Amino acid sequence: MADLSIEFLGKRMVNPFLIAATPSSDNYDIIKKGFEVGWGGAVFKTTSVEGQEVPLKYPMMTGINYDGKQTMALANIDLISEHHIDEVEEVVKRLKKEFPDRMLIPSIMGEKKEHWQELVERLIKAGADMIECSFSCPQGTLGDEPGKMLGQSAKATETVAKWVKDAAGDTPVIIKLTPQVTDIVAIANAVKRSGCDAVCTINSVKGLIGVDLDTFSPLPSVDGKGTYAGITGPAIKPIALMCLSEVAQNVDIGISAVGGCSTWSDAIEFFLLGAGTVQIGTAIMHYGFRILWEILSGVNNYLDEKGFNSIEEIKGKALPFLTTHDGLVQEADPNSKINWDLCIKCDLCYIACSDGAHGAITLNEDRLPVVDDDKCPGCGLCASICPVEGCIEIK
Amino acid sequence: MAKISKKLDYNERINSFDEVYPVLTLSQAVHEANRCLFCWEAPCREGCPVGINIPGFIKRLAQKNYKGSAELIYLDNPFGEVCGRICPQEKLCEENCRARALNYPIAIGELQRFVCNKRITGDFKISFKIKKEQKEKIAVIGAGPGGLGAAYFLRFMGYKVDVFDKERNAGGILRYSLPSYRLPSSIIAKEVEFIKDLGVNLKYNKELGKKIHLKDLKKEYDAIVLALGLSKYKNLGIKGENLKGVYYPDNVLNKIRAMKEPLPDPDLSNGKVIVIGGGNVAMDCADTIRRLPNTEVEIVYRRDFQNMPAWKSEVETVLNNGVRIMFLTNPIEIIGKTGKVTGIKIIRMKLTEPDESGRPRPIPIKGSESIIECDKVIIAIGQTKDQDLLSNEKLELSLSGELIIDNNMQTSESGVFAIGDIITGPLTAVNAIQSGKEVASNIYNYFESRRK
Repeated sequence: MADLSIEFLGKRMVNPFLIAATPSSDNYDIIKKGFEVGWGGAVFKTTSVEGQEVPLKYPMMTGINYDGKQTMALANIDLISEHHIDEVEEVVKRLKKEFPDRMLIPSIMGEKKEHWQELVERLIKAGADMIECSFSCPQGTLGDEPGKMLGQSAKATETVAKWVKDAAGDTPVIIKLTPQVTDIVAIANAVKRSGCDAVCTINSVKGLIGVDLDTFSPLPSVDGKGTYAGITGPAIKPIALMCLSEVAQNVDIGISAVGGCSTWSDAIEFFLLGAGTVQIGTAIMHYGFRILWEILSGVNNYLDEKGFNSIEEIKGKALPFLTTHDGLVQEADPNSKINWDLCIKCDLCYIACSDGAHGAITLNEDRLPVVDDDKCPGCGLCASICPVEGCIEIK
Repeated sequence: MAKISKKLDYNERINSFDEVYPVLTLSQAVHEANRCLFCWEAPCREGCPVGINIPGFIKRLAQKNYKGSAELIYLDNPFGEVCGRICPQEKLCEENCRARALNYPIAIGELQRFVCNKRITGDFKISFKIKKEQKEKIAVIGAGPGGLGAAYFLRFMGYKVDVFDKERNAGGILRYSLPSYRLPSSIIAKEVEFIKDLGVNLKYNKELGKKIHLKDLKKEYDAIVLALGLSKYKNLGIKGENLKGVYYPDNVLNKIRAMKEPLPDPDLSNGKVIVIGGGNVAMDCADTIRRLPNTEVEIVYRRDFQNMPAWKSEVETVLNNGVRIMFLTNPIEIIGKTGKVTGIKIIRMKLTEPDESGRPRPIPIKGSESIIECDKVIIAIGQTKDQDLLSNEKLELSLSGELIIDNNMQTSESGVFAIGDIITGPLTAVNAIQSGKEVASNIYNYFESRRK
């Protein structure tokens, strides 16, 4: 049994899994439920200064289904928490008392310096372990520059992050970044310069999930009109892994990673690419807090099987193997190897190679796929589309 | 058959003529369609006698393009919804399904039924354009699946087609050998309507040899397709078959088809009914009568369970519905009083070496005769052709009395073709439709060669 506890920004956590800033962390009851299941902490649904109206619109979510499975991606036009800062303070106090070993990370968003600093001070006083700042919610237009996110400007990021850190003092501050920037390393460096302790990669990806073909309204549709939304779920994991690894390779800063993590193997990938903690949102919203048990079980078995004693031992282990395309040196001459004992003769590899790759696969009299090694450069398409586990290998 | 749909509960199915398996829900259908691997050169398609583009229609269903999906089905089969219900898919398309190698076959029949049902319930309309009208006229005799299949594909090619049938309704064997809870009349009617919409004319109450004759038709039509089917039920050839209370499957199934729910029937309900036979039609007769009030049903069959020609799933259903089966038993006489059935005399059988059908030959056990009291007897031991239909026609027959056809399905009379069960013996509807499709292209070639 490996040690699943970790240290993050100088604080000990029972496990590295945090409830992300979502409806699953918006009030006392729901966070308590999550903690009872075993979550290591919670990033609260983002709160702002008092008096600011939160004009929520419904319906606020639409999923993309793929091959019969729901929510490959989930779009939301949700905004920040509707709860008053007074209430959030109370929630922090109660939870700190009842769950002293769990990380309480309120998430905040403000406009003016006084707003940011007031929020930080009040929440730390209430017992917050860390503060997360949303510099990057793609939904809505709360802010000075409608449509523009704070986290898209290195200069603005540094300035505001510094305000927050000045107010937070020794309490760790995490700045949540958007993936929709030209150079996320530049933004992470700005956070580093501000004195903040960590970044959170990534916020939901601004996108347009679809259009209602009957009414022509983009989705989700609010009385016949739609707008851009924040996209989450398994579909954004590759973007999250890219942002995480770019920051991890280039900036010496803590990282709380989030974006499409739904399984234990997803979680391991996040750690291997340098994540200190992993936040999970959409998978909880889809399957409930219990998904943690499945993730912990898989992570634990992986660590045991590979002979690691703790999550910290695997942190960043994949980073030395991540290079540029120029850095890829090919020595082996791979080919597609098809195991006829496993082949079910669907012939999808044949048609994929024929119409989508190198025409290296033909069918023999028994409809079994035969690879022409001279034509096959080992591109990997056939192995990617084969429906049988382990039937095609590239080696 | 890979069944997803939930079978009606015992009480629901036994007290109604509702379909035993409801059509799939949208979620069930989409989930199942997404399991399809979309194989290249799909073996399921090879297993379909009419060669429906199965991966194509399933992919369109998965994308919720129901109309496009139905278009692919009806392109190859005018009886898309009928076949979705009654084809033995487990021996055809589903037998070949490659998803079987991963877990279990796709429920192709139920998916086909789902798509076609959406057309029938009016979710969309499909219509095919006739590319080029031809001058030739063709008569099809028999409005069963084979004849209507031939008419449909001939009309596609632009020929003018008239279909003649001796009954007042189209559908042929679909009506008189299947109960409505397996194939509702409304479904047959909707499919026939689709064929008519394409421009096929249907002429009812026209029995060959009585109201219509080949020599007259030959004057008016450029080709004739005989799709006569096997419209007579075999008799046992034993004493007592002319007693009141002896019936054949068409008396039972076609009659009860008209009932919306099980009600008393002066001929068929009340009392004990013995059904003789071990095929699907015998099962259907027993199961249909079992639904009528105050009726007890027992099947008498001369071989054992293993050697029954009925599909095992059908036999199980019948047994579950409370019908008893006496295996290894053969009737030797139907007994009556004052011209009415009062019982049957039976004899026990034993199985010996295989006969020409490959199944063990049943022979009687001497001295094992006994009598079962009953009120009615249904004889469901197989179908045969109606000898009267062709008795006055000058068509060449084999020694055993079968119609002789050449490789192009043409009879000894030029321009007269014959298809379906009358040629092949009893097969399923989709085989008859396939022979209709084949004869259509043969007739096209026949006209082409005549032009030269």
